[in-house]
Amino acid sequence: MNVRGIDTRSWARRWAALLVLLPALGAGTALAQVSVDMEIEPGVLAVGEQGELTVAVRGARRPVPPPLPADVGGLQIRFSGSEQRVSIVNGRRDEALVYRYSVIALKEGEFRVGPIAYELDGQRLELPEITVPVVPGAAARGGVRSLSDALFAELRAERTHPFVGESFDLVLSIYFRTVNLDRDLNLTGLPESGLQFQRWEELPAGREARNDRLYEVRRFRTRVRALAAGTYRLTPQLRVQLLIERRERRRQPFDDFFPGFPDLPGFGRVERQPVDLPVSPLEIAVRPLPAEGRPASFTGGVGRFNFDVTVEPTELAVGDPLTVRLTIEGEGNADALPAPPLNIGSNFRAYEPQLATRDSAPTGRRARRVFEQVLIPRDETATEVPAVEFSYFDPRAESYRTIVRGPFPLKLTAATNGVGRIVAPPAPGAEPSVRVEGADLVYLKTDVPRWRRTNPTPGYARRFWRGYPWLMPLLPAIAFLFDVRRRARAGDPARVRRERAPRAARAGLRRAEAAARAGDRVAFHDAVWASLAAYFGDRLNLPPGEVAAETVIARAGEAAPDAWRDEVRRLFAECMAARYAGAGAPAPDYPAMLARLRAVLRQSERLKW
Amino acid sequence: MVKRVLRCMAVATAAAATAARASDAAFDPAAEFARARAAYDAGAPRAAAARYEAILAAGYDAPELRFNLGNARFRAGETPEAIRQYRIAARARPRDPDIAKNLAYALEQSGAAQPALPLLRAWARRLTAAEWRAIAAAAWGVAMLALAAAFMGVRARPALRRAAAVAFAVALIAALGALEWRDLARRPEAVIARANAPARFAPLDGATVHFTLPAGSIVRVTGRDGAWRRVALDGREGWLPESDLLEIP
Repeated sequence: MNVRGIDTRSWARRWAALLVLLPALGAGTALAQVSVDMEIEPGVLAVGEQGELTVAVRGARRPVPPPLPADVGGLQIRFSGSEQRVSIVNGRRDEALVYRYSVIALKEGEFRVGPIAYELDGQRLELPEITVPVVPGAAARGGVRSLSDALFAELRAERTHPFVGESFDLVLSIYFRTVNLDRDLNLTGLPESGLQFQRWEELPAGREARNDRLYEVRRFRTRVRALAAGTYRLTPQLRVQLLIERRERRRQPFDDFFPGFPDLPGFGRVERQPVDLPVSPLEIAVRPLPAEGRPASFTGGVGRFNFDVTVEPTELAVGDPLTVRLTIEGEGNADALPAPPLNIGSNFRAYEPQLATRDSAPTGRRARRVFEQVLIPRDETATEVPAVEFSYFDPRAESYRTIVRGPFPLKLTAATNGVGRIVAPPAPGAEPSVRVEGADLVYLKTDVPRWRRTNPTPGYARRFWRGYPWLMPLLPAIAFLFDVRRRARAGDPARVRRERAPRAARAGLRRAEAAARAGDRVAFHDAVWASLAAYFGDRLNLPPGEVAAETVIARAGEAAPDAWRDEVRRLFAECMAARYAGAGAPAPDYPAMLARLRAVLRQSERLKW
Repeated sequence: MVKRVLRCMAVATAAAATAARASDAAFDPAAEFARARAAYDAGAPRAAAARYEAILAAGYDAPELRFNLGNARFRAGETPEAIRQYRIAARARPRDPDIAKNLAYALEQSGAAQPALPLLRAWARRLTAAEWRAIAAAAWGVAMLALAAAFMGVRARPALRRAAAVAFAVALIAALGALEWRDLARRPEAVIARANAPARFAPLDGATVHFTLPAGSIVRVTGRDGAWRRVALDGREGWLPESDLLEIP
């Protein structure tokens, strides 16, 4: 078809082709716009100096960080954040996502970053190679060619072959020169089992010459206890904070007020840069305690201890208590030792030993434990507290040692009273003969008011009580629904009448049936009329005087079937005629009329009013 | 046919009930309880304890039985087992002064300390788990009924709501009280059966001793590893072999 000489079919084809090509062109344009730039500022770094590497991504719909290596030769590269950068130059808008990395020069040399394959939105791009020369720079005055010359750490143990239970010092030393360190440092990677580490404490700082160079030294010490035999390789990771002068900085409002505080954080010329320092591994071989020569009184003490025992009082009456005071003091695991056992036989009644004092030096090196044990002589044959042995293992001498204290003679007099005293101790294996005088246990219960069977509760009871907490809330829920319905009915009389309609109709029907049985045609027609008037009056919320066949049919609408309409008209007409005729009205066919009335009412219930 | 089957079932049920009654009649816990007391009075606490144990084995239990068994065990020189029985009795009768006194006496004699509880938890143990559950169930029922009545009623609605809130608070407190007892099922108590039982840092025979426990100490079992139990007392935890413990069910 031609309109003004133009072939519209060919135009339609061109539009369709354009519509198909546009998305493809757009996609191609979008693909073509993805670009990446990488640069390092400044181009030349000095050892210990920090630079910044930036990767700017443009046009990517789903940008991902570039896969940069963590370390490149003598450069340490750490991700420091990303930002959206928008700039307008000569009216052209440039939008880029910039990934920032801090670069620290660790040693002198020339290092290459890249080329790096970088996949963006399904495209394979390549970050170009950048060469970063690292020169000795400012640090060269101290002869520093790499960061490890200026900063390194060492771990030393007081004992590398300790015994189980032995404690020893572990010292971490950080050597540094020509660089500044922050106070904070982080040490991780120590074994979590087998060796127990106390808190680290910092020792006084000092200076030390290493390889003809003078280093500042910070030392940290901890006390380590070997818990289980085995070889433990300590390969800790140490992260220190290097204080580095900031290269570029926006002017701060405090600069004019605090020109003399260049190193304070937040005032800005110095910033902290974390550096991971390699620490040479250290192997600790924990040896088990020798089984040979182990005394019977050995209770696990490892170290060098003093042991002392005192008994008070030594002059007392039978049945009176005396206190044995056992003191263990020295270097080692005294803080974990139990009280040495007393071999007192049956002459004494013994209470469990109680820990009275526990002291330990802040370094965890020396400790002191004092136990008190109360003994009560049973009779006058308890003439002495027997000797007490304390054995421990000396790891320096690699042998067991035993200290014996006592025996301690006692001067006993006859018992002063017999309250709560067991007179005859039970012989092993025999029924004990017990006589108790004075205050003691409360006597037996003489009867049981209610025996309880130990068989489990019947299942039905358990099920009921399990369901009880969930069933009870149903009561207020039902009451709530009832209340909602009641409130709704109170505000809607038409609804109340509508719901009442079938009940009202049934009352009229019953009356009609009674009148039919009695053969009372006036009462029958009155009842039928009453049934119709009550039902439709309530169903359609009509005043009593307005209930008529046409009103009802009009409210029923088009959906009502014709047969129903006819039947409603007939019933209303028959009732009206009979009621006006009074006793002269012809006798109706009662069952048939009742059946028709029921059918009309039933159909009316199904109608959508 | 159906009637015949029903009749057979009724006869079988009656026979089973009669048999059960007959077996019950064969064992009289009250008579055995009296015989055990006689043995105890005659100075034979082990024989008394055996009779009390027989009552338990027959499927009967009572706090009074546990109390008397504790006394018999104590007289027989088995103080840790006595403490265990007193503790079981105390759970069923937490306000019984006799049980509390004998438990304290047995602990004192063995040199073990009374387990210390924070004030609120000690208060929660003043009632039994069953008492807390009954209070919680009753208060919950009252709260729900009052709430239902508040929805149904018109005039007394504010008062009913207040009553429901109070009952709900009571139910909540009682539920917390019941939870305190439930914690005992999760971390049961146990009595140390051996003098100077060494609690170790690890469930190994050669592990370092952390602390020692006097016989009769009441500890909480906080962990299990094979035949080893991790126990806690006064904020310290250590591992003990199962054989050193008498667990309280």
